[in-house]
Amino acid sequence: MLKNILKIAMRNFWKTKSISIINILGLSLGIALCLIIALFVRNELSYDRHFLNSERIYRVTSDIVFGGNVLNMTFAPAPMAEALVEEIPEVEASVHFRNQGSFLIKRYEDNIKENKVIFAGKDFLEVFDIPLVQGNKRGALDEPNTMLISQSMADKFFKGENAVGQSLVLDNSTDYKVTAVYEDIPENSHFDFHVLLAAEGLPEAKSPQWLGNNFQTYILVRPNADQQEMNQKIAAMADKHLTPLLKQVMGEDFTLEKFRESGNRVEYALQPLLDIHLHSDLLGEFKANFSITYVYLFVAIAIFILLIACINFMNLATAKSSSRAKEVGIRKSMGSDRADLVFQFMTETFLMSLISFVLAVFIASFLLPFFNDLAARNLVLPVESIGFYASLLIGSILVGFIAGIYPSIFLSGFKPVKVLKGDISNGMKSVTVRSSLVVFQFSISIILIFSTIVLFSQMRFIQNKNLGFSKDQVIMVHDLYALGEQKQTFKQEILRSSLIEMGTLSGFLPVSGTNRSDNPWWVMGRDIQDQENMVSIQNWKVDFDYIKTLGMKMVQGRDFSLEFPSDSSAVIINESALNNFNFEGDPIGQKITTFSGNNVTGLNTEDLEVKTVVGVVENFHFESFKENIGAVLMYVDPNPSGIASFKFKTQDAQEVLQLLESKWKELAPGQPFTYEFLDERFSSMYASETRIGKVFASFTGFAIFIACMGLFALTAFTAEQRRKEIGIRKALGASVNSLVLLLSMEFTKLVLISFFIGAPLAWWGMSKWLKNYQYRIELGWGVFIISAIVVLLVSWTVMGLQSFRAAISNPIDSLKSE
Amino acid sequence: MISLSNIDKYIESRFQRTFILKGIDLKIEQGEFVTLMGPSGVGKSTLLNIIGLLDEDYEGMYDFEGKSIHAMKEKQKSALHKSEFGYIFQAYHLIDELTVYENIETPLLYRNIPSSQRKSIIAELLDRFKMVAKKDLFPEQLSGGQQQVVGIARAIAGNPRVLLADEPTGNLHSSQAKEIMEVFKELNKEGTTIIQATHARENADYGSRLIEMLDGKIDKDLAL
Repeated sequence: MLKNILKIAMRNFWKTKSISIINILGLSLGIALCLIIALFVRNELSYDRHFLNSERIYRVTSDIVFGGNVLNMTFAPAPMAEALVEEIPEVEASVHFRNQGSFLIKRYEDNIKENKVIFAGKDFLEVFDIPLVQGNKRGALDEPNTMLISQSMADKFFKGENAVGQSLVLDNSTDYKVTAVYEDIPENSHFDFHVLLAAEGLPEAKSPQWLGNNFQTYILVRPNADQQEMNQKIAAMADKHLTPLLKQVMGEDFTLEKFRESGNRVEYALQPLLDIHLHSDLLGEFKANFSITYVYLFVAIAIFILLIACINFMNLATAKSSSRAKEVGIRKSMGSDRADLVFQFMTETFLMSLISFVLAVFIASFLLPFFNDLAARNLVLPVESIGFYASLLIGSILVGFIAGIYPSIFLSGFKPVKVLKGDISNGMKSVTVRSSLVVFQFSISIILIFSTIVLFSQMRFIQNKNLGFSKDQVIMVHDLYALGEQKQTFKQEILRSSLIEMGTLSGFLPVSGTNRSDNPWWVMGRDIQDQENMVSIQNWKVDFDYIKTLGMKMVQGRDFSLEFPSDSSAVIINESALNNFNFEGDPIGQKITTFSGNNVTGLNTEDLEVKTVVGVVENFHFESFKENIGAVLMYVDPNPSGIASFKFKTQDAQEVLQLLESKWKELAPGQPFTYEFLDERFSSMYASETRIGKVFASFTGFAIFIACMGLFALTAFTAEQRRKEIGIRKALGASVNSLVLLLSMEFTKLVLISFFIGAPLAWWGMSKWLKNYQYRIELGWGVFIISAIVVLLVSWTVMGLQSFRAAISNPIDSLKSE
Repeated sequence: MISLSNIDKYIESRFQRTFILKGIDLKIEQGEFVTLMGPSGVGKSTLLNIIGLLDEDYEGMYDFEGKSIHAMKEKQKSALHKSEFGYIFQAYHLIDELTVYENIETPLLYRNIPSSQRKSIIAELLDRFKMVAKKDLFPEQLSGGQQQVVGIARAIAGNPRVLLADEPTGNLHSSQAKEIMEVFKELNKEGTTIIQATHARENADYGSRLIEMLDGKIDKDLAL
């Protein structure tokens, strides 16, 4: 029987070759895309699971509201880690990290710049039990100036040698001894450090200061510990340590109640390690995380694409039903019951599905490198795992079932008496179902098209929006500390070139990855017992040319100037700060104040620092567009460091680079020269969105392509079925144009209906997405019109081709065959 | 063997029912060769379909070998259908995608007959109808008469006791029609009950009983 079924299947396949091939290719392509998405999602879901006891590891997060500033951070105070172990019984071990940026590392002469360096507490290996290749877990980070390095780091410096016991020089000054080598941390982790330095040697790690938040803190808890309970204990612990300190700062009658009443809070909570990659987007993440929303989005796209492909399958199967109806009738008259026929048609579909899956694996392996490129991942098809093949098999059965069940039931339902007489009135019902399926497909396509257009418009909006500063033609030279005392010399020498318009030295720039520093200030003379008078504000150290170089605009007062010796105590604030300070009268000339020595090592409440406002600068974006623009004040730093930024005149950036590099080599021989263009740095702030946008767009493209494949085949089939009608109409004098219109009209109607279903849904969804951005585009009629045009153009092209072919055929050919 | 009593079949339209069959009483014994005659639309095919269990949408009693069809479960009906009935159609109705050999084989597959036995049955049939040389051809490569021969071979392959033929020679010219009728006669001689519907009087002469129908009723029932 099976042989008989397979024979029929194969011969039917050949009889309608072109349609069958379209069918199988569409399905394979759909499956291949789903396969890629499945790999991708599996990878996203696997983050950090490889750590031993991963479900017992938590990170401490902070939620701080102070002086109108909201901070959701991965940072906690330095003494937190130790206190957690001592005061909360559920905590088994803790470790904290302090990021101090990149380091220059050398063994003998040549420095290598290494970004993935971090200071880690001594119990790192207690919390994150990563496998060691060399050395001993016990006491690995106990001593100052010791370090753990990754396998690939060891290979870089100690190829073929035993790294343990050897030393490396960091930043040309400090020797660190390697105590152990660990296996490279897998890519699917939320951090991937290659060098772990002992935080024991870091003074601020020992600081008892609970008011500064600078340490990412992780704990390993005992089995069955309750997150809620621990959160409560942590809150109590933080209150206990913070109250005396805040009293010291704010005066003796400070109470937590009053603090909270004025809208302030300092709260800490636990976040499971396994939630970090998909559920966390805080200040100070080690890597750009992904979002569970996007995971759902990709899963939805995968399901959509698969459904579109399956619907093609169903539609063509039922469209072909007239040719299968006779067979059904004959088989029934020979005593086949409905179950036999369902079995037969399902077998055919399973066969097609299986073939499609095999093809899909090849298509996926071809497409995967492009996807990896687009999504910045390193996915591979797990061709060596049996589970992979098992899931393919299960998948093919599932897809076969989805695609086959409706046509099988439909086809097997023909009444033999009727169909053998040539009466296929069942066809009417199938047309309705087919139309609804086409509408469904195109509704999805329209949702995807619409969303893609909105996504890209928002990205373009970000790129082109007036930022409040000029990001173009600015180059940033990093790691100025390598120049030592020669920073100013470097700047002056570079400025002498005619290629350069302006330059500034400052580590604080309006793009991510540069310095930030937040401190409370208040208008001098106001009562700080009233906590509403405290303004939490960014304190940026800049130089005299900063505002000019970055093209910022003064709205009140003046820029810093060398002509005013008093400018050492001058500040320029932005419009948000102006608003937050709420000055009485003209802000220019008003004095604002803060505690001096306000840094991580301690507060000096006796001593106040006073500055005078000399100007107000127009608001500029220095965080993502998802955030409102915060308050900033700038003052001149006599000895700026960090980054040198130059505005250049020429279009030839290469020339500028050569100039900078040769000067750098002259002043800082042997030190690596690192640079970045400001606009590129800016774009990288939206890299993950842009990336997702591109991936989304390509999947949209594929989905529409598959839907159109179905439409193509379906039009071909309808044209074929209406050959006689076309022949008669032509014989009666219909023009080719009117026939093409006649044939296209049927599906055009469906596409239009789809538009009215899909577009509002997409509009609703995308409005919600746009709410993520404080600065966003308006969803106007344009998007509706463009997406309608796109889908109509594409579908008309596809249908037009087929209809035209049918319309130009010789009427005699079709009429004679009857 | 077959006993129909008071069979009605009608189409319900908005204001009236139109009877296709009305009050049919008919008994057919094993070994008979019955011809149903009458003009188009008189209900011959419908009656044939009811006898052959292809149409269940009617009123009245139908007993096969003393057992009521209505009382049977779907499984039993399907089994009866497979083992007792063979069909021959005016338009041959061979499966286009299968060869002559495979077309004849199909009913045997539904009867779960083992492969070796299938082979010998088909070989015998091909031999009998002189189709051996054509066994690998597809229906469209055969003439109408040849296709109908394959249709007969397929119908009797499962060794049914009743052969139902609906206008078996309707699409054939007279010499081919004659050949087919000779085959029927021979099969009847071997014991197969045959019921054919036709409007060609000459075909009735091959049979043993002639039933003339008019307006959904049995008009005359003659032994020949």
